[in-house]
Amino acid sequence: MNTLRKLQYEFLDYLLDDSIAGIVERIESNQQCSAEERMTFYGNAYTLRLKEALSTDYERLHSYLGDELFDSLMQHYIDSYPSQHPSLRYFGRHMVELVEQLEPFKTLTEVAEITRIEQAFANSFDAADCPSVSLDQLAQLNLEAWASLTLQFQGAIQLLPQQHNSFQIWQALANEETPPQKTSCDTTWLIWRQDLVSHYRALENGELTALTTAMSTGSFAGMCEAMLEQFSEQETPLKTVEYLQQWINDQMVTALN
Amino acid sequence: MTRPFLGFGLGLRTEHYPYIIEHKPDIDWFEILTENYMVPGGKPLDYLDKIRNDYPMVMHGVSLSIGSTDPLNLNYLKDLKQLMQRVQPRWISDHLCWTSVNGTNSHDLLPLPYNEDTITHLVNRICQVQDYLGQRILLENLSSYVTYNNSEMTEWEFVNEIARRADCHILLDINNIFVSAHNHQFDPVDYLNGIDIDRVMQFHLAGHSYHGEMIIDTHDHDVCDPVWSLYATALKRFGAVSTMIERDDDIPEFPRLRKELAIAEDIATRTLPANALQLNTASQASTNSDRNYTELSYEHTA
Ligand SMILES: [Fe+2]
Repeated sequence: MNTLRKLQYEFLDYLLDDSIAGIVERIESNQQCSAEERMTFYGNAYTLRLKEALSTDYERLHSYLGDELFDSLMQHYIDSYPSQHPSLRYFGRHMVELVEQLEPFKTLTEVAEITRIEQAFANSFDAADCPSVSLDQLAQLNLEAWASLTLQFQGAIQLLPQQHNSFQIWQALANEETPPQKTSCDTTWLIWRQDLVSHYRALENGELTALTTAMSTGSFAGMCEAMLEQFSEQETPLKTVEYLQQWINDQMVTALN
Repeated sequence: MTRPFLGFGLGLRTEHYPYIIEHKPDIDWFEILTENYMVPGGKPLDYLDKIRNDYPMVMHGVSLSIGSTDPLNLNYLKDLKQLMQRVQPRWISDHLCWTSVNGTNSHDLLPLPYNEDTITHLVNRICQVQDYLGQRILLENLSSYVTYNNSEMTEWEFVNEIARRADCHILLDINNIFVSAHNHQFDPVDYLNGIDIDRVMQFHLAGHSYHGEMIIDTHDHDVCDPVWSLYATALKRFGAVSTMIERDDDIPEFPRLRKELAIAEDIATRTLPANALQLNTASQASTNSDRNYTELSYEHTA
């Protein structure tokens, strides 16, 4: 059992760090193929498989960076974040962390934003299913119910604050068009899922405040209060109901209590 | 023992979802890749449910890491059991290998040394998994590129001994036997003859590629003639065994794969008597009175 554990550690050392000294002692060599050569089949497959997973997860980032830069990013990623999850689906989940630390990506701040966009779509794609509420349910609420109303939202929702036109860049890449030049653009984007398809749109400030508060506190009253900072007392009730109706239409709301 | 016989199936691949849903092709069953559906929700599970409505399924995993010296991954087992409850597969399988150690996943099927210590270790873990899942599992033989100098027996002796002692089933990958036979210079027929007939519950077929003196198990080609003839030899020994083709790269349109599967059906028809190839999807009786596994039964609704 101890011998087996040692063998497995040595095998892994080879895959992770290319250190072949330990494992190669345990492998049979013959005329057909030496122990070293035999191990390279595993070494190559390891890198190839992980790169394939990252290329699938970050297809737009790949187009944005080009083959060479993306390949060096993948190599860094593979070296820095050995897979801790049995499913390859989650292998690339630390990519934002890496591009925020590593030159030259660190200085190209739109890179982290594009990375975050791709990750957000992947997370929304297979987020948990939940039933959505209907406008009828909203209409049935009485006055007291409104006062203590709490909201629940689908897990697929993601808010992406951006400092650049990264969404436009991402969009162009997704359509295989030449991306626009990077510009400053302070906008938060919303990703959500409707009928199993991910959707996205830019949020105006009022809706951003409303949604952020509603999602963090779950309280409709709290959301109205936050809205008062941006809208007059007359406007606020109309705006909040308008937003709420839109969210329900978009299947974002999963429960009204 | 009457072995369940599901007929001839294919690996379910995302590329084929729309075709399968639209055309409901004539195929006996699908094998799904377990980890692809270990996600919270969304389209993958939606497609899975839709296709499951029309076809029997078996689940095939790659990350059980039954041969690892790490403790069994209980979260993985929990997710596995949950998915089994959703899919109600006819059976589940993984590989006779290790994939992770020290918490790190290689995402590759790595070979084990064939000796008594490994057997004891594996048998113990397979029993734990089967107890937790409440049913027998199938374990598949690998394609491998190395052998260890502390192996004390042939691969088939190793596989067979584990299946006997752990009371589990075998998924025999005919292509893997062919690939390993070439890479390690043994006779693939010796392999087939060394495996107990009753333990084998499923066959895999696949294509491979040559890389210098070695063959790599790439699943990116059609099944080649020598593998077809090894399949015929296997049918003669084991009788009707549920058979499927694995294709993971350079994936052709569904109808082309379906045609390739027809070759397997044709070989089986020419090799075995007609009554042997009647589908038998009924529940299989436990072969070990000590354990009382209730195998999941399934009614074909298509
Ligand atoms: Fe296989």
